[in-house]
Amino acid sequence: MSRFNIHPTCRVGELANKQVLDLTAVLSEMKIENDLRREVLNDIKRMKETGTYRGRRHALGLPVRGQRTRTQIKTPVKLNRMERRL
Amino acid sequence: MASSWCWNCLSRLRPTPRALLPPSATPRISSAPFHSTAVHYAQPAKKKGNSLTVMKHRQSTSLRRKKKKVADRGGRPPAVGERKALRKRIVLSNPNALEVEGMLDLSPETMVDSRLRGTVLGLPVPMIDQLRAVQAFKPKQGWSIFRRPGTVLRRDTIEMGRLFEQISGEGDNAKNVKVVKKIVTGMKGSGKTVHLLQAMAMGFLKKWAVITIPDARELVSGETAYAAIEGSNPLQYVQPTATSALLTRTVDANRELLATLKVSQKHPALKMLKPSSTLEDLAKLGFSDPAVSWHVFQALWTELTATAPAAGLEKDFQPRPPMLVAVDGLAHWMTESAYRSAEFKPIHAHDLAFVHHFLSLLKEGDSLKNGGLLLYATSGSNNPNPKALNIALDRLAARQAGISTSSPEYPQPPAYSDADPRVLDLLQPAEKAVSPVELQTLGGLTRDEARGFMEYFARSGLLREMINDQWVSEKWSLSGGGIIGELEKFGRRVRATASASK
Repeated sequence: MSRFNIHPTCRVGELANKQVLDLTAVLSEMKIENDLRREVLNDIKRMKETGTYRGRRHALGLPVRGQRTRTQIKTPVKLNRMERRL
Repeated sequence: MASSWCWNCLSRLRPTPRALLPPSATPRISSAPFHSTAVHYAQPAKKKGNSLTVMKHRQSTSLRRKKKKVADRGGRPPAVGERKALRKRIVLSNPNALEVEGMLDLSPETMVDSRLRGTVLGLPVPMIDQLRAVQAFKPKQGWSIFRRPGTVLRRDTIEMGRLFEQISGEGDNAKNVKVVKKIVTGMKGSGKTVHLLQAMAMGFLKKWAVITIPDARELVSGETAYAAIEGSNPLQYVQPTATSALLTRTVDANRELLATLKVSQKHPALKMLKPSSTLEDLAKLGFSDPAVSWHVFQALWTELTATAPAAGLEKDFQPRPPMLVAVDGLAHWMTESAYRSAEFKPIHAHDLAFVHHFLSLLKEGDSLKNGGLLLYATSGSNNPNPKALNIALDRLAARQAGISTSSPEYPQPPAYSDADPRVLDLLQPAEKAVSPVELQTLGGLTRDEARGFMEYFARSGLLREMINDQWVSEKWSLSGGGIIGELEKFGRRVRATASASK
């Protein structure tokens, strides 16, 4: 925030016009929100299509990064589907 | 504590004649080889199940607590800002306190009258709004226990009153003193902030322009907006909202004065300014639009320090009055601020244009061209305690005591200490020059002043004691040699016990 001279207790309403413009300019260059979601989903889809181990784990609803599966896999069960939720 | 041993069992160790035992109604049961109670003394077995201590199976044995129901107080939680407003509320009058008869007001005559030393002088009622506007009163001070606000006339106050007279060019001892720069220090509770308040009151009485910064911390604690000044080297930062607040304070307090003075200089940065407008109009430009407030403040400053009108604006030029600049909590300006630069480096407080402006007044040179008084006070209770300032103040005291800068007694920062060189340089005069800044250390009241002060408590009905020399002497010693904040506690404490014993 200090890059735009925004102090720690600042509220959005207090921002000067220039600060708002600068922020928007920087944010518009970043990949955020739906663009970023789409990118992540595309990455997962690519892994599935190429048949990698990680892609398979995503499709099976199991943890991808080598976690144990005996307990505590609620999150992958919930999220790793064929149609991946994000 | 009862022993867990049954004495009967122990007595059984010795063969007891049967005949000595009371005849039992219950038939004798063959007893277990070891037990804690003789069977025929045993209570009939209780029915189980009514006690809480009975364990149920498959139930947690951990501590079970009844959840307290939160009492519904009714109504909504306090509105936004309400609690802060309550915390910052300043009460200046207590209708239950007695009115002190014959109490004089602070006036140009009384403020230099050494016969009145030690008495409490009331602040004139019309001035209270002005003092409120410059935030001279602080919430934790004891104004709310008296009928009306008043301050004790102590030695330092009378000296300051004389200084005001000298700078204004009045009085019989008018010397050619124009500008006096002082740093006010002293231990906690020694009355530094009230000293500033008295200065402001005197400034208003003498119709000076009074500019104050009631809390120096607010400018460096990262709570107001800041923006870099393009093209400044080293990079400086303005604080538009804080500047706007300063302009509001200044106009509210000095409205009468600013409304009579007309613009006399050219201000190319302010295109919307009409040539014939008053300084009040000029300052008001900065209220509504914080973006221009810094330019407005600079313009106002050049107007107030102007000695002659610019060409073409000679009409309506009036000489400007002297200025009083009062800053409370100076130590906060002597460290790095909570702001960060674009590179995420901490910004030094001296790089904030606002702070820099007021600190540069301390340096040599004719900063206040129409004369005036600079009073920069440190704070005892809210003090970041920067090493460099402490050393700089020690040096100032040493120079005042006549110790030369080359002498071994001259205070030096400890070896390998990271004392801030910018702070050390600030109060260091050029070679062989006289330091432009004076160090004023506020100590305790004298015994006579303390007596006058405690009598004021008694006459306000707060203190039920016979005020005699012995009692005052005792309290004077207990308060660390007349530290006024401690004396005030004695006045209050007796009030508390008196009301409790009723």
